Amino acid sequence: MGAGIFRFSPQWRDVSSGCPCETRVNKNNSQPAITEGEATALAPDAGDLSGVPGLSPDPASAEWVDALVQRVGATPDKVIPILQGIQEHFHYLPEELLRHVCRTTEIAPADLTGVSTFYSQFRHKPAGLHSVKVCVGTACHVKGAGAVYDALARHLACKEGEDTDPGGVFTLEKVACLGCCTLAPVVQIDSVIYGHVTPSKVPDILKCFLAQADDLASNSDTTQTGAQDSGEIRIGLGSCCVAGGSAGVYQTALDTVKSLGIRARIKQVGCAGMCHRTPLMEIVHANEGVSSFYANVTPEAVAGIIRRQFRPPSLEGRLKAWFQSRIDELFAPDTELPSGPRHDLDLRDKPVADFLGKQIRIATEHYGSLDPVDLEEYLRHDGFEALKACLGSLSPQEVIARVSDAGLRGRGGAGFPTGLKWQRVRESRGSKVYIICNGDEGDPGAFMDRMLLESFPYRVIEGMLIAAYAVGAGEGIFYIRAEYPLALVRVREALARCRAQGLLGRNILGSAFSIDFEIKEGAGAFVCGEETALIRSLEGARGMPRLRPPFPAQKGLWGLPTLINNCETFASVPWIIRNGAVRFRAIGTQKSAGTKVFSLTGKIRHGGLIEVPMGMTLREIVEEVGGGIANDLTFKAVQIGGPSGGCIPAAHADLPVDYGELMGAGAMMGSGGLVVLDERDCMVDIARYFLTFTQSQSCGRCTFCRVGTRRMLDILDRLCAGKGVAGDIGRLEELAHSVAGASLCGLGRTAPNPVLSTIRYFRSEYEAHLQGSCPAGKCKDLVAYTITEECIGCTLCAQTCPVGAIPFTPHERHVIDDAACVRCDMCRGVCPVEAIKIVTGTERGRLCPH
Amino acid sequence: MPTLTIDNAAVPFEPGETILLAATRAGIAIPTLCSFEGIEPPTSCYVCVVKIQGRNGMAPACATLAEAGMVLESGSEEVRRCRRRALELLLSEHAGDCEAPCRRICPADLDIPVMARHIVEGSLDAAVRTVWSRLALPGVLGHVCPAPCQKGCVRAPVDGAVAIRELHKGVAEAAFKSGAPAAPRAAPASGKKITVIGAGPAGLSSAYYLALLGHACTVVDEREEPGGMLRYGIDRAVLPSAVLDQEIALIRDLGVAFRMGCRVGDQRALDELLQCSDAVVFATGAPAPDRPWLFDVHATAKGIAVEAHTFASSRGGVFACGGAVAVCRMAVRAVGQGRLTAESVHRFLTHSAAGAAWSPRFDSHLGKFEAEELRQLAATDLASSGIAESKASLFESSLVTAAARCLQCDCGKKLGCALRAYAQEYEVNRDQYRTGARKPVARTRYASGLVHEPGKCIDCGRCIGITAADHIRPGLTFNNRGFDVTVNAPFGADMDAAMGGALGRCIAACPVGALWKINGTKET
Repeated sequence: MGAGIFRFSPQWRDVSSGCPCETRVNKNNSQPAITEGEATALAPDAGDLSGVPGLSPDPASAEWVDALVQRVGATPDKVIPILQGIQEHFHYLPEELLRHVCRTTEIAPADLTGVSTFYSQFRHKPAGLHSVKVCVGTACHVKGAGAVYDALARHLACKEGEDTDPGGVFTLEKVACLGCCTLAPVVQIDSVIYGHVTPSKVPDILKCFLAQADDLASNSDTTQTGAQDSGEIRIGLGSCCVAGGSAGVYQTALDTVKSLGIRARIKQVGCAGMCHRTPLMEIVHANEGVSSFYANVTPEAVAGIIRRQFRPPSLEGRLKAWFQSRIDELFAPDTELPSGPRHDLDLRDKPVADFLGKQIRIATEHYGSLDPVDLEEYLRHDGFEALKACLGSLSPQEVIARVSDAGLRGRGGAGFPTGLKWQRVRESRGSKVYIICNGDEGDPGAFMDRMLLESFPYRVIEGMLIAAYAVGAGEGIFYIRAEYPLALVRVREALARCRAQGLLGRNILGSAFSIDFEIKEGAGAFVCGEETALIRSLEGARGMPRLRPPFPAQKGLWGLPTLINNCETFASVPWIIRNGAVRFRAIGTQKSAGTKVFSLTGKIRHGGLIEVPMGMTLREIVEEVGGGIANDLTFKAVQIGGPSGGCIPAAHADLPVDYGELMGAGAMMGSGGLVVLDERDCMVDIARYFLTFTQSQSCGRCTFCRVGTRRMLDILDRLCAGKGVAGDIGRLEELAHSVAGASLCGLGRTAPNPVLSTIRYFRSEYEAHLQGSCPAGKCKDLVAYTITEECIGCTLCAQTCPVGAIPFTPHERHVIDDAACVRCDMCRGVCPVEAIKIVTGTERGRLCPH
Repeated sequence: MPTLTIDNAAVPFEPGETILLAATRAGIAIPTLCSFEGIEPPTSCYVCVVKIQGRNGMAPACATLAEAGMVLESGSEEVRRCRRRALELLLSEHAGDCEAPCRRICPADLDIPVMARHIVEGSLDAAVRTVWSRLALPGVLGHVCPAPCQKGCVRAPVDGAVAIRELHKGVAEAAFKSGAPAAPRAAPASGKKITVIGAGPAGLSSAYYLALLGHACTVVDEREEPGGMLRYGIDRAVLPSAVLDQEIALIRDLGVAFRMGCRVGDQRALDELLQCSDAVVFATGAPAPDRPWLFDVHATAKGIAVEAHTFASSRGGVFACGGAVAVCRMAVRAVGQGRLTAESVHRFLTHSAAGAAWSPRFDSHLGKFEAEELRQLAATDLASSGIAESKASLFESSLVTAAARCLQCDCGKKLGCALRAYAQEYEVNRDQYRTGARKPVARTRYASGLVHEPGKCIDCGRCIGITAADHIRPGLTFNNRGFDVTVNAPFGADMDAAMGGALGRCIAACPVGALWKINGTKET
């Protein structure tokens, strides 16, 4: 592996996987030749695979599939939900069941196999008992996810080309982004997310998971205490918080409150944005109205905090509390907490004030204080007021005018004027109009959509309802990534509650307007964020984009006019309706009005989900909101816009966040991933990283994207391997321009941006790679590890090295065997005297005689 | 009718029509490898790109609707460069040879796999046509050729090379034995006269092909009998004179005149020849070091200086080939150059400027095979199926067996391949993007005659579009995505069965040699 992060199969896959068409020889020699006429006669009827040998499914599995088909439907458009059902139940797609589906539904065999091999969610081989997903999103990548993956593969002793350990316990895979970028690097085992993973923590994590696996299965008690009068204990249960351990915090809080008899309400709230400090807990006293914020809370600390904040009502309770706290102090002193120090957060602290103070909340209004699925609460916070206003007093045309006047532009990436898009859909003719919320956020390093859907589902629903009213839509679809299970649960719950309250369905809020929304799960294809590919996917096909025009506004889902907007676009709409276009326009820049939500991650001190006014400079975001670079390193660049975006060097960081300005600098707003890079990040590696991603996500339709991105990657691969050929930089640039100029869809047209922008601003680094050196010390093949004279011979490195490349020589200066070294960086992490150095170029040449 | 402009020409179009359709009707050729009548444009190959004024980037003509007033570029260098890039990218994932390695090595360019195929099929006429189209002296060469082709035979490392030399020798023998060595018919007389100096292999070959092209040809030689080194430099035991005589007789039968015992020694003699001829070809063999060079034609110690590819000397109308130009140790090289010179002389006589129409034949050139690929290729027997049908063959059975060993590693669509034709037209650099490992070479032969070679597939989607449009089950589909996309029949079904009634159309539509039929498509 190593070379290609997202390459799902090795280059010689066709032979090694034994594709039957290619390895079979003279298979049919004994059969008579088929003439054209006979072939027609032989051509089987729908779904008949009688000519194709294969096993029959066992009756129980077949019955299970029949029930699934009964539930989901048997029409060709149901292929993805059917496959998802089978995959969920069997953990892979047994071929005999797929054949069974072809026999019992209207789905054509060709379509079924085409679809099942297109989406990365689907497996065709049995998997281990537990799935280990290593996030290789941008933030995780820059923080060493590659080394974590290698460590896992080593530890599990997976055979070459296999993803499951020999015992069949764990199946290891790389996933594009789990959206927990602030906890990078992140590993998810089944439903448990581990943050800040390092190669050395890998054995403990696996052990810990296996120990807890049983507990997790049995402990699903989610009793919620009713409204109480002492106050609220708010615990963030966004994915980042959960990953940080907030589920344990939540449970302990429940137990503590119950055992002490405290009359406080424990409330799950959505994302507070300060994902770098998770888990977060906030305590609000009912009578005083003041709140205390706690960050990095551990379950162990919860009881203490609650006892300090709330006086137990009875004497018995108070005694119990006092007694308990003495015991806690005796046996569980804070200093020995396994996960490091925990902090109280004072909102008046300068870093906190900077982080929060510069932000303006529109899409994320009331962040961190709303229970995401509590409809009553949303209604109390002006929820659905905008919808009421629209249905009650505004014509669809007036709604569109207001959105147009506000200057809202699509937050999905390209920044197309939202009002204009709505207008076009409204003007299109068709028997029906569809509306789709695009929640297929797949950019590595971005999690805005996930946070909005998890934390503010009602706001997105409200915005979408307003849009549906404006364009006259009759049916709506939430398209959400299957990788976002919590978002799916929350939106599903929110939709059900809306339906129960008459906010969805027939005659919404008593008006003549009727519409309902359903959820469709994406199946793992970044390209489905492209609207025409998304539509193909909804129709049950391979998610391959088609040429526009016609635009979905004219010809979309099932050939009918369709409005597709991003979650954040919809989430901005209610605010605009309530506060007016003028107030929205007052925020931001001339051509980019309002705010933009970013997921701020990477080598930053305070990462998280932020919402800032357009026009704020990148420097302000990095240095003020984000508190600057972590670990006293130097700010090198910002990668903005993910795989479609580019790298802006620190020297140009005074660039304002604005669609046009970013485009001019060779980057792009994208959907809002903002990954901060420091001096230790190699820009060629970053370009290669993104290209590896887009290349793996190409649908494979047009030549320039399918082959062109792969050839660009080949060149970057050889540059990073020290095998660059003279003229490679020019060759790469020229090919990049061709791919950008002549690919079919936005994925291909923007895929070269990370490459072109890094060549533009960091050409010298490319030239260094051509000469065989990696100035940042990142590219494995171009660096060597060496131990300097400072070594005290403590053997820590020798003990840590997972491959035995450092002989155990106590009290002597250690030596690294370069041939055995896998560059996992673990030794450098444990050395107490910083005696381990990374060398590159000529220095490395001196170490390594070949 | 509304119009748009393509390269400054007004092109009318019907509303709702694509740019490609409008251009094609107007006689403007836009290349395409994926669009196909009766299916939705797959918009995959991007070879049809055009530049639309006022729009960013390139647009595929096959799926972009024509609009009134649109201004397009199709023939500009920028557009041509973009098409060239697309072709180069497609070639980088196209694992296949256009021509078999043996043919590439053969100095006379004999189409060896096709010859072998005809032998297996028992088609003497076709074999004779194939052989004599490149070898004027196939029987002679069957005796004397060192057979460099056999060194390149793909089968050689598996279980020994195909005995190629025996094949053309056998074809010649069978032809003469049958009594009617299908004397090819010469083109109508052109009225042009050419003198060939030297009756060795180069001279005989150029005279033969010049005569075929309809030119009146006289061979002048100082010896008594024609044949040059073939007669006077080779042991009779190696090359019986009867073999040489019967092949020279065939040349004579075409109308070539021989003036033996006649030496052209100096410029005056040459001037005289030029007076009565439209062109002169020097095929005199290696210059004798003791003889002074008395001609007004530029020469070095090695031989007469000629232009590469055209064999034209410094003097207009005077050509030279074989040993007269440079050391030529193999008769087959002299024979090959003789033919090329004849073609060049022909172009000179008909177009006035020699070499104007010469361009190299594009060859995708796969490179080395992996051991596993070789094993598979050797096991995928393409030729032997014909043996059964050729019971009444005029060939010796041992010859048929030898021919059946040929792996047919040239491309089944080398003549009809659109990718090759465009690669030639756009002068692509086939190695431009061969940066990574190539796709594996693999081929499956089905009983219906379909040969499927997935390594050559360029994922254009035509066959998938055709089977989908006809609602054929199980049909074909793309599997996987991105660079790993492949065209497959579902669940490992047979490709031919998967295409059902559309098999013939799919084979015809395939723009490359990924789908072809073993009978009928292979020709010279």
